[in-house]
Order: sequence, then C-alpha cells, then structure tokens
Amino acid sequence: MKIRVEKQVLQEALSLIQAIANKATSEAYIASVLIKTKQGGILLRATNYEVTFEGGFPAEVLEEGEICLNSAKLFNLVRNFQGMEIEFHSTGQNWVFLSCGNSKVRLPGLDPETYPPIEFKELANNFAFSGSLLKAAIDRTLFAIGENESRKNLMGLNLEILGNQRLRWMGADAFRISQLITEPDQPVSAKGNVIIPKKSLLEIKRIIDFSTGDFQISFDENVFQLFSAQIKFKTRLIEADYPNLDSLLSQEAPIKLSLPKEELLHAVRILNTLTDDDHNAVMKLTLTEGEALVESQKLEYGEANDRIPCEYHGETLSIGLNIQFFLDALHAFDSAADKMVTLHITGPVAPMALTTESWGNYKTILMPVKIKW
Amino acid sequence: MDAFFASVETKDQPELLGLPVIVGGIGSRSVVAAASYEARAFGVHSAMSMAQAKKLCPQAVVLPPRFERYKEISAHLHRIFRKYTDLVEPLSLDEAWLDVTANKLDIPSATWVATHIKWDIQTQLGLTSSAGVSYNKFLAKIASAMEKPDGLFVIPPEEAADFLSGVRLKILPGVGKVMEQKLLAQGLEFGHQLLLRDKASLVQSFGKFGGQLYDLIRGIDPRPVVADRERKSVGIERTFGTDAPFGPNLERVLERLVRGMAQRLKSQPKQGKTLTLKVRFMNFKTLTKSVTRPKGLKESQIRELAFAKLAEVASAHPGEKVRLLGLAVSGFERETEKPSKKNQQLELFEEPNSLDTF
Repeated sequence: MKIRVEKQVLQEALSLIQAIANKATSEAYIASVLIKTKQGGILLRATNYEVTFEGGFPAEVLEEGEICLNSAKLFNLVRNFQGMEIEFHSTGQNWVFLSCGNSKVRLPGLDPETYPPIEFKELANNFAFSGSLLKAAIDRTLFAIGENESRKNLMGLNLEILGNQRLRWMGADAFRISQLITEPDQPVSAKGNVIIPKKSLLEIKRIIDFSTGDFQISFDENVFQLFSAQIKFKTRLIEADYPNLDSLLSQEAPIKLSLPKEELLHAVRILNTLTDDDHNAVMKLTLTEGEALVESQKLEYGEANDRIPCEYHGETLSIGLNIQFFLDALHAFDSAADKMVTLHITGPVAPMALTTESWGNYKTILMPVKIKW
Repeated sequence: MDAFFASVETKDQPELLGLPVIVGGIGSRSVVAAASYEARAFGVHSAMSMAQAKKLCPQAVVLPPRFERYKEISAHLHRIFRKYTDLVEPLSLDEAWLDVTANKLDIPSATWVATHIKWDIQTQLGLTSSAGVSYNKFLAKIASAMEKPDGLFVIPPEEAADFLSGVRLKILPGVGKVMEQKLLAQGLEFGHQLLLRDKASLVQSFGKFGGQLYDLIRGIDPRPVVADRERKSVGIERTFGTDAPFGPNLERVLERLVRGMAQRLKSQPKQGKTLTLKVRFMNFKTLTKSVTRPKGLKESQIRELAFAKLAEVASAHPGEKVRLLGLAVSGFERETEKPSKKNQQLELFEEPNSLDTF
C-alpha cells in the first residue's frame, strides 16, 4: 500500500478513535487501527467489540492495500510530525514506512488479513435524525445517567419510541431523572426501546461534533448504529429492562415557583466554590414570603447565602439538595432561551422537578436530601 | 525494657538484686508475666504456667504484678522518648517504635540517639533497656531482641540483606509455632531458603502472609511510625480458679465481663462494631466467636450478642469445662463516618428490582 494523506485530516480521524482503540487490552488488534484504501481515500477501522467505528477520509491512493498499526502510537507520531502531508508505504512483511516533512519512521504493523471482520447491518428499526438534536438529547440526559453497577439498566441512555412518532430520551440514576421528548421531522418507522451505554454516548458526541448533516439511526435488541455520510458507528446495548418512571415524571407538584435562572445558578455556584466541589455537599433552599433563600451548611469551609426575590406566598418551606446534583440540573437548561426556571415542589422529602417555559418537552427531577440542620 | 516488670520490682526492692524474680499471679493456675534474667537461667519464661515455673525454679521470689507502678515507669519512659522525638508508637507498656530520622536534638546518627536514650533510662530510672536500630520498623524490632539484656544492635541498610539471609524464620513477626511448622514442612528454616522462593509460590502456599514474607525477608516494610495510634480493640478476660462448666456460674462471669467492658468502653470516643467472645477450655484449646453489626454496639447489644455466642459455644461443646472467658470489642467507627450520616440523600426508588419494567 502507498498513500498520501493530509496530516490534519489524519490527526482528526485518529482522535475520533483513540477512546475506542486505547482500551487496555492484551489483544493487539483492539489497540490498533486498520487503514484500508478505497476509491479516492482511505477507510479507518477500530473496534473493541463493544464499540465499532469505520470512517472514510480523503487521501491520495498511489497503490492499493491495507495496513494495521497501533492506534495510540500512530496518533502520537502524527501529532508530532511537522510537515503538512504524510506518506505511508508498506511492505509485504507488514513493515510500514512513514515520511512527513523531514521525519522518516519505520514501524512494525500487524497482519491486516487477521484483523477482526467488521460488519454494519441493515436493521429494520431505522430513521433519520438531526445531529444537533441528537447532541442536545445526549447533553440534557448524560449527567443524570447512572454509574452504579448494581443498577445496570440505569447505566445508559434510554431511547424509547413513543406513539405519534415521538422519541423519548431518558437518563436516570437513583437520585435524579432527566427526560427529553423529541419530534423528528421525518416519520419514524421503529418501535420499542434501547439502552445505549453511557461510555458510547461520549463517542457519539465526538462523532456528531466532527460531522455535519443528518444521521441515520438504526437498532435491534443488541446493537445501536449511527451512520453519517462519512462515518459508521455501532455500539452494543445494555441488555436489561429500563424501569418505568412514568409515575414519577407525571406527578403534579402543588408549588410551582419561577426563579431567575442566572441568579439561581450564580447563587449555587457560590456554594459550590465554598465547598470545593465536594460531591456530598448539601445546600438548603428555603422559601418564605416573597423570597427564596439559598444557603450552605455551616461547616469548616465557611458559609454563604443568597436571597432571590420571587413570587412565593405560602408557609415557610425548606428543602435540602445535593449541590452538585442541583448544579447539573440547572446547567441542563444552559442553552434554553428562558430567563426563568420553574421549580415544581411538593415538599422536603418529595422529588422536585425543574422545567422552563420554552422547553415544554424537557424535564429533570431530583430527589432532595433529608437535612439535619 | 529488659524483663520489665521483674526489673521494676528489683529496682524498688534492691534486696532482690541477683535473685530469680518472677512476676505473676499467686494462684497455681496463673501464668508468668515476667521473669528476671536470673530466673530465665532456670528456663522460666513469660506466659509459662506458674506451676511449671515454680517446678523449674523453686527458689524464685514470686511477686504479684503492680500494674499502676509499671504504668508510672512507662510514663516516665515516654517522657524520655519525647525528649528526642514526638514520633513514638507504643507497642506495649515497655516497648515503642521511635522515628528519629529528624530528632529534636539534631543528633545525626540513629545509633547515637539510641545510646542517649539508653543512658537516660539507666540514669533516670535505674533500669536497663535494649535498643534495635534500623531503617524500618520490622528490622528495628528484630534488632532490639538480638542482644538482650542491655543491648544495642544496629542493622544498617547495606547489611540488612546479609543479616536477613542468616536469620531463623521464626523470629519474623507473624511466624508463630504453627507457621514455623508450616515453613519447616516446605524446607524453610532460614532466610536464605525463603529468598529462593518467588512471590507467587509463597502466596500460593501461605496466602496473604506469603506476600508479606516475601517482602519481609527482603527487608521491605513500608509501615510508618504512627504516634497516637487509635486503639484497635478493647478487651477484658477472666481466668477461673477452677475450670467451670457451662451454666449459671459462667453466665454470671459473662455478665460481669459485659459490665466491665461497658466501663472500659466509656473512655473510647467511638463505638465498636465487632464483638468477639473468647472461650478457653481446660485443655487450653481456645475458641473465638465474632459478630459484626453495621453500627456501633451499645451495652445492651454487647450483652445480647455475648450471651448468644456463649450459648452457641455451649451447645457445640457440651460437658466441656472452661478455663478462661473473654470479650473484646473492635472495629471502632472512624470519625469521618459520622457527619455523612447527618444528612441523608433520598432515593427515587428503594430496591433496583422493585420497579415496574417494560
């Protein structure tokens, strides 16, 4: 094989697969990338059996063929090359010669013939979906997705096809839920639900950031596939039943309180700074006549409070909240145009929901902390 | 300290100087707590039954222990230690590890520090001591036993390997009679024999301790000297005048032990989570039964668990007579466990399987 490829193109391509190929493994092929010539360019393949990537990139093909190299090593070489263009040249004994600018490298490759076969299937459940909407769905649910191995079914994003062509994207752990309902422009000919592992979502985000245009989404009970014009990606699914959280999501809270989003965010950030991003730090939200008080627990790191005027007329009520969880929930509304965020409050030990007016299809719920101060 | 209790007695009663002195219970069933070097010459050693000690050395002066006095001397000893360093980790009333790497008097050599301390002990307390000097706790402890009494033994880093290859393995910490037999069964008696074994095979033969043996014989012991180490357990036990059968008498003793334990626990800032009952039978066979609860044990729980465990032992050993009964509380809660219990993050659902699924 002999090819010439732009350094910048190859570097970006390799950066997409580092997290896939870099997995600590004893199997050399999992740590490697397969580069194969195709018309007008090259195909890059990487897999760790959980997640599989295939992307096409422009290159000048001088002699057809394929090579297999350690992915991390190649990525680091490319990053350090000073020239604009890299030439690859391989021999029959799997030696690969690279030259770029004044640098010349010879490194051993693996036999590409024995690289594990990769196939992407046509699946019955498939539909087109906008990349930006897919990214929004991931951004708004990722923070709530669980990481506790004992609740495996919560360790991924639940994508569910509701009736009327609506899609529900949901992330949850034991303490919070985040749900987005989207209505795609084109009809969705699919049904059921899949749980996409949290790890794979980071890969998907990377691919969306790299790509332009729409994606084709397809799935069956084992695998979720994402195709763009340039890239094919698939991930194994979490094979478990996702819990039915409808009763928690449909609860109507007696108190609906609108607070200025930015002011609330700043007040909570002050507490977070004070508590050194402690994941267990707790704050208290107290509602009194015409005012919401946000305050920290008085501990060795000091104390802080913020008063935010609001339309509250009722008995004084205090709720304890995990500062990090509350921040995550507020940040989920970062890209919403609304100035106000609505807190749906039932009481100090009942789930609290957050919504905004313009995002009627998005809701996040978090469980309070029972506080003793 | 050399023959600590016996030396204190001799110091307080100079007329005993040169005589074989044994400190221990007076009853025929008690054991030797300490024996002077004169008594040791007759084969008497600590933990030996008093009856046997008297048989070996009938002319010995036997004295009951005076723990208050020993504690007084021990406190003075610690004042001497702290003149040199605050990094003092006590092992017992009369033994401690000192980290003198940076000592208060800026004495450049650990060996000199040891000489100073021995001198202070001799002049201020009129007692002899033995010091071991080396670059870690394990080697210092071994060194301290090499030249007793009134000894000072140094294992410099460059000589540690030679020293260790020549030692008998039974002097290593953690090698008791049983482990010594196990080692011998595999042809391991001296350090150089142990050095030939790789870590994996030692772990296979001796479990986790195999890994420790591998490190120890290479002079590796990363444990730091920790001053003010928290007590790991609080114990109380009682040896009977005559062996007692299971029944009301034994239960009365257990009740007294529970109350005594409660008294001792009052001085502990935290509650322990594990209770251990120890039963030694007339044939010296010893059984321990432990139970651990998620939270610290209160007196009532200690009583309940202690009696339940005793009933268990009684039903498994009907008709046997008991020589000693003991209780120990361990697993003290760490300070940091407490504040998190104050606030409680509520969960959306309790059990992972209690949810409806699709």
